Amino acid sequence: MIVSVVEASVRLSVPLMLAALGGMFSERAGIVDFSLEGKLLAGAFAAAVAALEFGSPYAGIAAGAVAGMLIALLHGYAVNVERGDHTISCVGINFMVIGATATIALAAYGLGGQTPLMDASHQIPSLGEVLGIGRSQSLLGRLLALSLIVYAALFLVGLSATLFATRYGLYITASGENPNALEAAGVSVLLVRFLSLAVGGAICGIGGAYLSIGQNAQFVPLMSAGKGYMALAVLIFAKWRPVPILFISLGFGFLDAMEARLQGVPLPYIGIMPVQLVQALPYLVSIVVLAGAIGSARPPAALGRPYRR
Amino acid sequence: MRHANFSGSRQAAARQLLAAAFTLAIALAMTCVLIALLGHDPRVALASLLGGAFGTVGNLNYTLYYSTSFAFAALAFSIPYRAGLFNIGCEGQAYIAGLGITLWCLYAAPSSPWLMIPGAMIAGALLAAALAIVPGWLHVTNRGNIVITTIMMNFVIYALMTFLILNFLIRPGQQSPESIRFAPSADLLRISDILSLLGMSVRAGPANVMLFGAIATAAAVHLLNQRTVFGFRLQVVGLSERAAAYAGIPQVRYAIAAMALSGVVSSLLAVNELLGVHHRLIQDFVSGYGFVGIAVALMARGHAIGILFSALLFGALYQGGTELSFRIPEISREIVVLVQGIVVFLVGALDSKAQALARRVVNGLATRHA
Repeated sequence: MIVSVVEASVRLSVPLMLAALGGMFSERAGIVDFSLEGKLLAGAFAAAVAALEFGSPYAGIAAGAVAGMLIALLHGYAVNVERGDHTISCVGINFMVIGATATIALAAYGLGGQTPLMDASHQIPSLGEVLGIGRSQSLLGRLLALSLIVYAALFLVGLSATLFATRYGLYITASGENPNALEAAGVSVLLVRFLSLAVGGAICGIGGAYLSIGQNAQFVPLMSAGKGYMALAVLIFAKWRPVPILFISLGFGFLDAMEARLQGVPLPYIGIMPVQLVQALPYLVSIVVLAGAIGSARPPAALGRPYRR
Repeated sequence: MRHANFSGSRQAAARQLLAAAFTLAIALAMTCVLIALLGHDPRVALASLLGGAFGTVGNLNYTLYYSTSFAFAALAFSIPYRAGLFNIGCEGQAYIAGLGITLWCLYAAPSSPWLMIPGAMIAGALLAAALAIVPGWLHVTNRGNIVITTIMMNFVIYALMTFLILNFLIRPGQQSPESIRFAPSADLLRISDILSLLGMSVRAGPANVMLFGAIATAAAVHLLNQRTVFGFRLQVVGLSERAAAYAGIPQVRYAIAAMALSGVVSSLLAVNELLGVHHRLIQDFVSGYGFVGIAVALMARGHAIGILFSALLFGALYQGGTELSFRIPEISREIVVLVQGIVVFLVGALDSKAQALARRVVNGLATRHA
């Protein structure tokens, strides 16, 4: 029982973890990123289409990453080059992605905006499948049965934590805290911001790919269901740092896992919890978590400010 | 955050109008390219869009009905936006207003329409305002960004309303998630009823007196913005928090007031839908109109009268889009959301370009006249 809850928590936390990690790259560099929702959705759509058309989950993952990156660059163009409003650009992008994915999916597949169900061979494999090790009930066997993306996410968290300990991480941090100082040190703020956005977009896009070809076997309109915004709550509560992102995402994943378990089960003193209350729980918790981050969460000083050389 | 700066000069007005026209032209051009890429003739698509929106009296009626809801949503967005608050919770605020309206109409249910309708409006407005001030307060006290909290609240309200409808409000012995019909005393007068009272017979349609309500609300918001201390102070808060603090404007109080007003205007969307058209509570009756309002308001640069025209445009787009997807089933209705997104993105990102272009055109015309 405990093992399977942990398993489910890990699986369900991955999209949030990757989205929050992607958002960290944008926001640490000074770019407000409400477009995580759009990146997740675009990543999910591109991954489903590529996995179907090329018959390979790896093509799907790559397509998801590219889609997330392209959206990040669009946002970057709007805010860095045109000095547009960060929030408006993001909200516009999110609408565009919702409209474009549904429109293209309907025109291409005619299934009311979904993509066709794919067979298991097109879905992201587990680590064990990649290594050619069969399933077993042992702890090792269960670990190996987790999706490749789960390990990729853990790896990326570690990699980002390492990156932020290096000079390049410092560049990103400086770009978000004091861009003029960075420029004075001879580093192009624009370049740092675009690269950081692109990396973050790709990471978030992989999170989207996991939604459509990892957890599910098709793209469904609006399948990101607010996870991009929830990831922002995670990011803020984690104070824009990679390792706390890992643990807070796991917490949300646990909540999600409990949601599946609580449905229809009578609880002592409460009785059967209404399905809708259980479904609303992660959103309510996000609000509470945000409100609880008061005082302790300080955003990057130059976040959302237009930068002029 | 950049704000609508509507100085009284005619040239400035012309510039704003031109910039909006450029935005729209680019959005439509991009959509036409997508339609062409999907293998359809964009001219046919545009023709059925226009025909669908304005072709017959019946279609026009629907266009006006959608425009009414969009105008309320956009006005609701524009009030806190002036104070720098990006409220994207109109969706949930209008939905919860529907609950207040329904409870009044089903359980209080006075027989006189003069008690029934205002009572329902007040009940809806109170709930919506109560819901709206929470994210406003959280935002100005640094307890959570309003964009995140309002989106989260939308999801919570969807779940809550589904729960209430399925468990309590649903018509007994029925599958579809809707309440019983409200008493006829809650029905608003439809435009087609008014016309037939005047001796013209037109087919009944959904547009109702809330159309005039939207125009009146826009005028009221415009006066509030331009002619009252409250509106001025709201804009000061939005333009510069430090200036507002220096001038002794209580920022928290103004943010909460702006959000409460926003909630009240959102609730009018629910009045248009429930009392004007459906006459019962229907699951998901807001169906994204609150989000359309953001595009409508941004396209009008937050200008209350401009919102009326931009709402008409989006109403036409929405009704025309419905007709278009009916005529060409491979084109999704969601293409309207794409246009909406492009408009919002262009205003957010390329506004300075559009404004500069418009300035050049206006100045060019002005020098030619001189």
